[in-house]
Amino acid sequence: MTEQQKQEVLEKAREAGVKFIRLQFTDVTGVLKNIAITVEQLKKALDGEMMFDGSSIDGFVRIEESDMYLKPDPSTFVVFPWRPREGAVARLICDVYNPDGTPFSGCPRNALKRVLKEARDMGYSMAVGPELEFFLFQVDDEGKPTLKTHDRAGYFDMSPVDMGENARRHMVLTLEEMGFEIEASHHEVAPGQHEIDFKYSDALDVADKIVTFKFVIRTIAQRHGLHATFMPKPIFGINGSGMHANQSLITLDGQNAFYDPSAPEQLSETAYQYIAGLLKHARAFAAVTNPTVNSYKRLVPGFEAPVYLAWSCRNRSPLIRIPAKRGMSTRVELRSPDPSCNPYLAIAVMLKAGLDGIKNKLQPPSATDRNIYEMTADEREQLGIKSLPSSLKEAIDELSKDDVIRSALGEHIYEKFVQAKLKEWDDYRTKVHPWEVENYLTKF
Amino acid sequence: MEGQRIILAEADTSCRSNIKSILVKAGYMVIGEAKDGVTAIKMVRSRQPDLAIIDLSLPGMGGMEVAKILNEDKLAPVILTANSYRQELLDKIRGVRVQGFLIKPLEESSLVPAVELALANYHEMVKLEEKVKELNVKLENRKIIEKAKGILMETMRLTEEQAFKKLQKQSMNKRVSMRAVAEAVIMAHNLKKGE
Repeated sequence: MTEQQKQEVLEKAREAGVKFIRLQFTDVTGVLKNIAITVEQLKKALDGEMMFDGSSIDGFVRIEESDMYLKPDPSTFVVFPWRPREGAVARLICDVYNPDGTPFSGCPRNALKRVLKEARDMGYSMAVGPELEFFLFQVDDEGKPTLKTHDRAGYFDMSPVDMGENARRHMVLTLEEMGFEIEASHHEVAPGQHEIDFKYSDALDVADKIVTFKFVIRTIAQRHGLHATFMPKPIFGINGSGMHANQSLITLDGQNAFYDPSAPEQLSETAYQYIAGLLKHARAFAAVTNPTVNSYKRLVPGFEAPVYLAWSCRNRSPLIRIPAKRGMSTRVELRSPDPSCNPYLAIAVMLKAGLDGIKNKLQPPSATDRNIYEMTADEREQLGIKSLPSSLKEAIDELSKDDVIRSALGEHIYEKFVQAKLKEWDDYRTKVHPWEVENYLTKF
Repeated sequence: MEGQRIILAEADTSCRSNIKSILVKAGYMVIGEAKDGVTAIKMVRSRQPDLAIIDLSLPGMGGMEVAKILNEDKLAPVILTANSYRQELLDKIRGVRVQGFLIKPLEESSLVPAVELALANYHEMVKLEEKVKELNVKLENRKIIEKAKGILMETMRLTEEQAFKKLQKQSMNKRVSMRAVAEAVIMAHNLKKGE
């Protein structure tokens, strides 16, 4: 960080009347952590001298090696628009560093930076455009979230106001005030489900924005007396919430590396190799892009979520779709990720998979332009179409077998991640669920 | 100010009907009654009252939190009510910037003047805030234009008046604000400096 950048942040903080700053970073599972400091400590924080106890964060370090340093990224400085002018609150997203000044290998943001550097060494930067879906639910009198999407209090207003629509409008305005360029915002297929898309941008910037996005959506929902959730499949029988990831590689001279006007489908060799890489590692990186027990209840046939490892320029049933736009908009849309993922890690593993395809000049299978859901199991087998893991456990097993994806995470994150996820799986596996009671209690 | 629309958030039924009857008698319209904080928030957002009277001890989202959101999002002025008065409570309330704080049971003689003052003060405050915002924008614009003027004077050897005219002319020709022209000048200058 240059002296000028530091001064700019300090000046912005002064102009906005900022009193508190939250230093933010994510733990391995993607939970946003905050360390609040006062504006008087901001200079010290910008100098990278803010220390915290790393052992208090899940998946970081043991007690005896617990001193960690936060290095804020000055470009992430933003004032929370919902707080008052006097005594405003701002935030800075940080990288976590070891006391000896080296990047901490357990910091997800550092992991993404590592893979981005690898891409840069190959001559590419990565652009990502995410599409996040979420549900807005009612809360009860006690303030606890419910699964109700419609207001049963029955408001008898002059104009029938959809509380969800109002809240979403407020969310869009707030995000825009925080520097987001919102491309689309609409009601989704399921009742109470919403989607807000923001403009594609550099991968690191987008990962920061996804983290911010989730936090803003939850905050504004709460201020409207609603509960926002990014849980992948909150209700059985209706669509779940995904986080489709549109991705492309940009060469150092600013060209879209996936676009080749003279090639079939106008897709470059690089694009095909990237697709092949994604398909090759999709089963392994699912544990990262779909990291919860609940994630796999979304990845079932019949609800617009992908199940089968295939790609197409036309139909929307496979894992990878190539939207029709070409030129700078040429991109690959991976449809499996869901918003419960840690965006830094999810983008890191997707990119790593694609780069592996390019490095090893992998060729994808031919495109599947038929609706895979209408094929029989035999037909799928003949075409060699495999499916995504069907459970978190299967996904973890796949991850452990894939050295390429593991190296994208780094051994530290890999170990802590698998540890946490196996614990989660075990907890789920050993509990007795309502389905079991319903089916077995009277039968046996 | 008769006919003003008020929303009432109070968990206790008899207390609520007491406050309501005082308000109605004084000529106000009670357009909504909530028994908990979340309902109060939703009601205020959808009905946009002129004032909200909110009790501190609401179930779910507490009265303090509701008042804070109404203030921060500029939804309505708030009068808080409570059963008793403590110093530390007062310290907290000060941070929330409510328009009034009353201890129950409420009497007509204390409630009605409090409502009248809250309504009047709030209108005044909103007006002033708008004015401050407007002045801030003007000040900010002037700062940027001054900076651009300085750059033009230095790089093109112009007098202050010539530099200003140049910005003004560009602004008119391109049909954009002076501020936008000034920002472009500064950006171009910084780019050159960076080379």
